[in-house]
Amino acid sequence: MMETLLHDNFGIIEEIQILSDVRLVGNRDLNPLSFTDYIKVQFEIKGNVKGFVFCYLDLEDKELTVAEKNYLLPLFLETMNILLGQQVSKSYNTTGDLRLSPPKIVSSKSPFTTNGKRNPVQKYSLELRTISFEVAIEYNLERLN
Amino acid sequence: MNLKREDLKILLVDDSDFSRQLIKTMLKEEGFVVSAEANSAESALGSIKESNPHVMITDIVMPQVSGIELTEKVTQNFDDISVIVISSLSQEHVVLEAIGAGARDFIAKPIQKQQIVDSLDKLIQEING
Repeated sequence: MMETLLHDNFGIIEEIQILSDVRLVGNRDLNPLSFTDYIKVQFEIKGNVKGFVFCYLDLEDKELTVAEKNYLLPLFLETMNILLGQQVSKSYNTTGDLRLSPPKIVSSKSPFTTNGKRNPVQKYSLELRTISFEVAIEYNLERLN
Repeated sequence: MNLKREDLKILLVDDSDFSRQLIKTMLKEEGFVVSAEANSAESALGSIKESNPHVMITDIVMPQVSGIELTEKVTQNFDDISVIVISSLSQEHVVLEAIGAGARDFIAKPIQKQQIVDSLDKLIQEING
């Protein structure tokens, strides 16, 4: 697993700001997460560490219009792209050369939960003006020797 | 020549519509105009002759052809087009690859407006001689 990447970078990225007065991603303590209504985006990582990173945006209990969802998805994609890009870049000294794929939206009906999951999961919140969304990032990675 | 910000022809290449919109808005606030856009390297190469840009701003991570390969092709085939590379990846070797491919500047995402404005202003100064 990419323990070094994860552990070295927990806490490094406190927040990402894309729009001037909107805090998009904040790091949070890792607590069990469980939800069934979400957007799932997949990134592939290649290099000395390979595998997939899955990003889940929890939509449960959120009453969003279609227009709001259409706005939220690209915002989420770009935010995760930047967040993972920074994690990959900052882990370079310990993990070597890594390449990040473009994001891919994955359609899935399976519920997401961190309970009993074997892959490391990082929890964030994405704050868009007055609304806060739970975000879980699941790392399914393997180090190559 | 007395090129001004609004006269600079900018080709913006990024597979993310959101990212392109964000950069366009950011540049518009500072008086720049994105004169052409592309969501892939192939599309960018196809539009270059028509849009005849002074500068191409390109992302790195894109499907099929990367921004690094695009930068190489553009700088090898179009002497008068400058390239600024933007990316969420900022490892030293990625920056060096971009510069090695001919990019004049590298800007890490999330983009700070002043960085991109400074880079474009410097280009205008060079063009104006």
